[in-house]
Amino acid sequence: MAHHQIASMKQPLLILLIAAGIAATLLLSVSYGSVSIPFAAIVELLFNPDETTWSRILWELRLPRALFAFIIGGLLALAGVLMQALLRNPLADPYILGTSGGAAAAMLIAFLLAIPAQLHAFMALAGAAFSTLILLSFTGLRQGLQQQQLLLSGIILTTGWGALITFLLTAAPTAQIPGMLFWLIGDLGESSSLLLPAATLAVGLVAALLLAKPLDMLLLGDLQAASLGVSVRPLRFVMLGVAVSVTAIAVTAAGPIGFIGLVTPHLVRFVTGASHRRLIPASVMLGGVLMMAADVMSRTIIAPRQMPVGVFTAMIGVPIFLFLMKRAQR
Amino acid sequence: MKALLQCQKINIRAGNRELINQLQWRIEPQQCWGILGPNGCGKTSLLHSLAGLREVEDGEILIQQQPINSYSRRGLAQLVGLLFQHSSYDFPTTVEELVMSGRFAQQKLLAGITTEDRQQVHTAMRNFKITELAKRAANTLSGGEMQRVAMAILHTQSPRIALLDEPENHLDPGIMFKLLQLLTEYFSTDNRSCIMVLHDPSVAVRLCSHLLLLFGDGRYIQGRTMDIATPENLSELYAHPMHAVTIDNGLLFYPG
Repeated sequence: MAHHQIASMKQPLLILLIAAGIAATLLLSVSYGSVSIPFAAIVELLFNPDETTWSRILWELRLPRALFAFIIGGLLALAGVLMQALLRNPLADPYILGTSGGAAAAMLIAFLLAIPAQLHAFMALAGAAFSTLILLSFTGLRQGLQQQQLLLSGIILTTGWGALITFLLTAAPTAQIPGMLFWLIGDLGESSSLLLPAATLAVGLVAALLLAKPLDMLLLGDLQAASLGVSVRPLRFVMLGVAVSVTAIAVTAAGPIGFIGLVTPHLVRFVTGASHRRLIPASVMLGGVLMMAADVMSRTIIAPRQMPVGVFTAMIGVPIFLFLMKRAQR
Repeated sequence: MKALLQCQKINIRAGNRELINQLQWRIEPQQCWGILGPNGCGKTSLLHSLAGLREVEDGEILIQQQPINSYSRRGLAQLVGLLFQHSSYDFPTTVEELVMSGRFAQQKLLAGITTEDRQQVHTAMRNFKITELAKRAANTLSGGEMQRVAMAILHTQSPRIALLDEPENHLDPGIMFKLLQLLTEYFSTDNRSCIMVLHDPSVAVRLCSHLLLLFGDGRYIQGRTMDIATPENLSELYAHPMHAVTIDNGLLFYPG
């Protein structure tokens, strides 16, 4: 029977492992790029910043960008964990279910109407919420067994948003198109303010951790959770609100980046099991690490040119998704 | 004796069909009720209504003399528990963690796991013979194993009123009686009672002190098992001739 037992890694070991992963990826992330900085120089410059080019690249470009990637990855992974618990479906994810697409379409409309940048987050939020409402009004919240129906509806919605996005691009002035395209595939280059994504991640993480226990209960299904004492409706409302907001802020900042939200919780569950008290923080951290790693790859593979990071996450995410789908069908 | 649960003239409908009409029902501590009836007669709907998961169309359900709607979810879960017809689970939670979910209504939201929680979980896992499954991922269990996990969750929840929806599902005959007896003994002592939906009248006769027969057209009859479990009543209930033979420890019913 040993082969089906869950590897119950000790908490301190897991934290140590993730911390080492963060440190290693961070080092790689700030070292590689159009100009390479040796590891020894990085360690030196981290403690003694000076006025050299390397120091300025490190402090003004690479570190903020690595932090930005980490936060976006954390946001996406958090959204994935919450969606999977809320829909009781291990293949749910804001990108696949159309939430990101709704936010992206709303953002493009905001670009075209020249709505001030400060209001973009609200537009994305409205788009994400609208898309989620459509999805839920067709599939209902009591999911679980009808996985195919939910995924299919999400994919159809994503296709619909894709069509609307193409239409908006066709209608857009030629000068705006390259920027819009790059943002659409998921772009960490235009790192705007770190403050909003960082604050959203902090609030979302705390809210999710406070509700970790009832989230575990939701995995039993709505009726069983209710019969064991969970107030299902308010819980769903709050967590869906958090998932949609977190997705919208990530999309506003970096465009719709796929597959981090889907894949990260899966990888983490292999190690921690499904308990949200462990799954949530570990997923946020691993999501951050994966996004930093994807960012390094997208900056170096065709250097000196940069590839949008969304292309890279999709290239890795698509085969992993297909593999997980096949496993889930057994 | 004060009633644990009362139904006052409740109606249950499916679409525009009247399944249960004006049910007056009273359940006292230490009683074990069996509900029998043909497919689609409203047995599961009735159980879900008693667990507060479904509104009744008319009438009122009282739990310990208070209307069921006056309880919070948490408060109700301390009094009423439900074993569902089917339990499935798609995530890699360990069996031990899953059985712990029975303690939810007793725990503070942010508190850790107490010694009492652990003891309850271990007792339940031992009783339902799943101790060796403790570290198994719940999404790899067979139907029978999952049914025993669901029973252990209910035992850990330890409500006053246990509602069992076809508890014999997925269990082979060798272990079925042992597990059902364990549940009925636990839930028909002290200040508890047990209500179960069953398909086999012979099982009902062996385990239940009282029976409620639902005909599916609004009619019902209820009473002590020895008065209700007659071939005449059961033949009418299932619209098929039912015969009885006497065996060592009771009656055995079979369709003609």
